[in-house]
Amino acid sequence: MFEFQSFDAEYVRRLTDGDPSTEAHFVAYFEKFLSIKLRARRIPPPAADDVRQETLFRVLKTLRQGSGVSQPERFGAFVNTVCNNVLFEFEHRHFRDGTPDSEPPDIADGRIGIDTMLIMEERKRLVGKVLDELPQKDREILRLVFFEDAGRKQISSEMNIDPEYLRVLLHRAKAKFQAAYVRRHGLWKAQAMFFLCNETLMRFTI
Amino acid sequence: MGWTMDHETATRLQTCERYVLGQLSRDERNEFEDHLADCVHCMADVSAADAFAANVNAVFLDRSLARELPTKRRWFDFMRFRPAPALALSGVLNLALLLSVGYAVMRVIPALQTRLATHEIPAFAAVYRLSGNTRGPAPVFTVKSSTAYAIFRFDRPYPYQSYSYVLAGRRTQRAGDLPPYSGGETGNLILPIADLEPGEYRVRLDGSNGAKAEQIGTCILRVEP
Repeated sequence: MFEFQSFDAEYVRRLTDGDPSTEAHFVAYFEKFLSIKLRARRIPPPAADDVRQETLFRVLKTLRQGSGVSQPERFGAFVNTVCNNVLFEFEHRHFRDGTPDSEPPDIADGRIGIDTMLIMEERKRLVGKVLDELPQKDREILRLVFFEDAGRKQISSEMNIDPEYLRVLLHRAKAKFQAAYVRRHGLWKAQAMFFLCNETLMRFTI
Repeated sequence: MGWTMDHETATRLQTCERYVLGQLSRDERNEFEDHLADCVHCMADVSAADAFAANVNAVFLDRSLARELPTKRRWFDFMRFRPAPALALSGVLNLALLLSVGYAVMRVIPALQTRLATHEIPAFAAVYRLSGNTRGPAPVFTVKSSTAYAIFRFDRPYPYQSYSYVLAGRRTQRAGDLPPYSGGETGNLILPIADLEPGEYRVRLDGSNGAKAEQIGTCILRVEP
């Protein structure tokens, strides 16, 4: 066990050699990263699964059978680039097949709500408490953003706010949420939970 | 924005929040993701914002469902204790009981006592004759409305198996079978008339030995206030 801080040559070497705990960390960490990235691009969940698996597979193949990585300290950026390539091929294939262009991706709930791992009863309670402590207007703004999935222009015009205010509001609400979580679980476990949302990674970092 | 993306810059510009809110341009987003994949701290920050956003959505979903869906009714729900309706019903029933008892005490019981007392006090009673099958008009007798009973005398031409009577006014009509009569050729019929309203009433006594009843006697009783 070791405390993960950043990627380096030693990490890449262990992963190339097939060290089980490093492999577990690699999968958990980048599944999390890729989930966030693909959700930000509104990729439908089944397609996102395919892209995630293909990305991780290609990275491991490059390490073990290919040229490896030239900048181990930027291993994350390398994975991100591989994912961009997979995503590009995925979009190109579907463009060629003609399926997604005639019909936009079938997205159930936009950027959020797909990853059920993020939603737990205790977190919902804490978030509900944070929301209830907010002024009515701020609560309504967050509802429009995350529940109604309303556009920035619509929110700005309906609530008469600056887009910057939205960012500040999210920052403050998130900070309250994190503080409540830390009070409940302690700093390290809370950080690990937010960061990883995964038992394997928790064991790795705590 | 012209970033040189590192953790300090990302923190200063609150890039994590912008990323989760979808406020970055395509180039900014790509550059930030390159950094994000390598930065543990930004990953923790974005993860927290992402988790917060997902749970905000879940909370509002729960709340909207709670508003829209009424509680499912179960078959035994009617047995559930509901204090307010139970107390209200009990209050109404108690009030109705109180009113009933009050009415009985104030009105019904004194009236019954008066009527019973009437039976126990000796008094004179007039006798009115029922006219048989004559061609002339029926005799008319006048009584006060305070009179409790009227006695009607009749002549029986021959014995009948059964007897009945009719007392008919404009708004009141009473009729009924009488107990068997085993007396002589002249008899008396006692009818309670205490509660008759003022007006004229025809009184008739019939006898029957089979299918058809015959009139034994009749008269007009005029009740005066």
